[in-house]
Amino acid sequence: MKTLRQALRNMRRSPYQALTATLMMTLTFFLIYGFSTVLYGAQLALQFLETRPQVTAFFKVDSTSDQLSQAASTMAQKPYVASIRTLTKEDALKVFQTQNQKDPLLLQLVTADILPASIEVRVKDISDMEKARDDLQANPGVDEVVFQQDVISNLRSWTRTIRIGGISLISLLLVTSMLFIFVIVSLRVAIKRNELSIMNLLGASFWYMRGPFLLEGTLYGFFGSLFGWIVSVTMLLYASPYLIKFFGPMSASMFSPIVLPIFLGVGTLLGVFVGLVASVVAVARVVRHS
Amino acid sequence: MVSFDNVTKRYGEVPILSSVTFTIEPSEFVFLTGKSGSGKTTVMRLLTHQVPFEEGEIRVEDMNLKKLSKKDVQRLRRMIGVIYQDYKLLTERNVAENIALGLEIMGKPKSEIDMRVRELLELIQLPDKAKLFPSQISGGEAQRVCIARALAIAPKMLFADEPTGNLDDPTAFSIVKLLAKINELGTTVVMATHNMSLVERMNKRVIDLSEGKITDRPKKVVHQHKKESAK
Repeated sequence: MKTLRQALRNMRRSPYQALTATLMMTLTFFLIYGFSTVLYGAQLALQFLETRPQVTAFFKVDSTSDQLSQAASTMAQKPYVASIRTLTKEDALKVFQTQNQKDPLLLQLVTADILPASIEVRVKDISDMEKARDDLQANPGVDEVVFQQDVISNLRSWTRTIRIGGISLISLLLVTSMLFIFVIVSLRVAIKRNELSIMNLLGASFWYMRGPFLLEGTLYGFFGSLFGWIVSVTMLLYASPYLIKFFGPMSASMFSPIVLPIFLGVGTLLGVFVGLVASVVAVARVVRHS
Repeated sequence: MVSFDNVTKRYGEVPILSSVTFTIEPSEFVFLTGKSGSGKTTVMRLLTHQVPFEEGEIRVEDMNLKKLSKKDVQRLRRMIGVIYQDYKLLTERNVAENIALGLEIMGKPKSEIDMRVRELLELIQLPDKAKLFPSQISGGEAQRVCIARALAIAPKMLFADEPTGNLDDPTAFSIVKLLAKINELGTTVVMATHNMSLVERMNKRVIDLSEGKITDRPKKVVHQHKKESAK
């Protein structure tokens, strides 16, 4: 408690240095939380799309149920296929009815005869989608094959780019923040060098002398992470109506009451670690040169 | 309580102490005399484990200073209170806070610290200056605060390294009288000084250093000073 009081006193006595370190850490963690949220959202979108049927073959209206079963069993034997779902004309009508419950007039007009049977295939690897398309098209009775390779591969590519760019930028900012804390704590220790040497001669322990400086660096990391989180969550909540509209059912996970505290927990651990490492190095360096 | 047995200390190739041997008994008052550069401050540095030594053996109570762990160094430094010529007071702390420093380091409760600081302020006769900062008090007062700080942790021994070096004669004598009073209360006092008039007035045991060696005629040194003063 005494160590904490001393650390806070040190910060109060040089408020501009403390403010600079805290703002730098806040900016760093705001960007960390921002990138993490974007990456998390992209990952959710990717997962969502990957769990959808990736390749769908629609049969001609006059095709038979044998042709559908035959195509399903042929595709099931392919090693790249993860799962298969078949929809008969009747199944297609049920889906149509579910989707258009509010339009009874339309439901009366549409019968199973005019709806195509279909087969939905999910592949193990996205690069096999073209193969699946070709194999499906080779089956008798298949009218059209649709697949969403472009969407998924584009999203993957974007996610990868954001991840690489984000990690690079965040690493740079973390190193800069660490250097800021290092310089500020070094200054503090250098100013108190005389006081430390007297304490040392009076038999002060390692923690009594160095504790306040180590704690000060840790506090910069802690507060930087906390403030960065508050700012990023505030912005996320502000943008939530647009995000919900854009991401639809995926957005529920983004605002989950578990995910955001997990971000804060992991970020705070990172902040505390960065602050502690910077101050440990600073104190050790100044004491060694004293 | 303290024993130096053939202790040699060199800075690089330059010998500062050469085969120095002496003992100091508990509750003794000893003057460590000698010219500047004779090795008085080095004795203090060796006693407080600030510098290593090459040869010999130093013992303080049950501790052999050649083989000390970090914990033992802390214990040793809490056993020996050091008073400096330049006081080494913390400028950001007031008189009372400076005196309390050692007790804070030892983790004493605030109530005990407050009580002890009050007692020490009475002892050094500065109860009304508790809230002043070092820059607001005189040299003699600063030295008394330094003594109180060293005494706060109830050390078994006080080492005063030229405590009167920056003070006028009456103030210097008042400081020595204060140290004598502390000694009467049971604390061993070692005072390094080159002020022979003080040594002469106190009539205590003298260990005289010259070029890093103990001279065998400390009485003669005092006697010689008496003669010089008479001239």
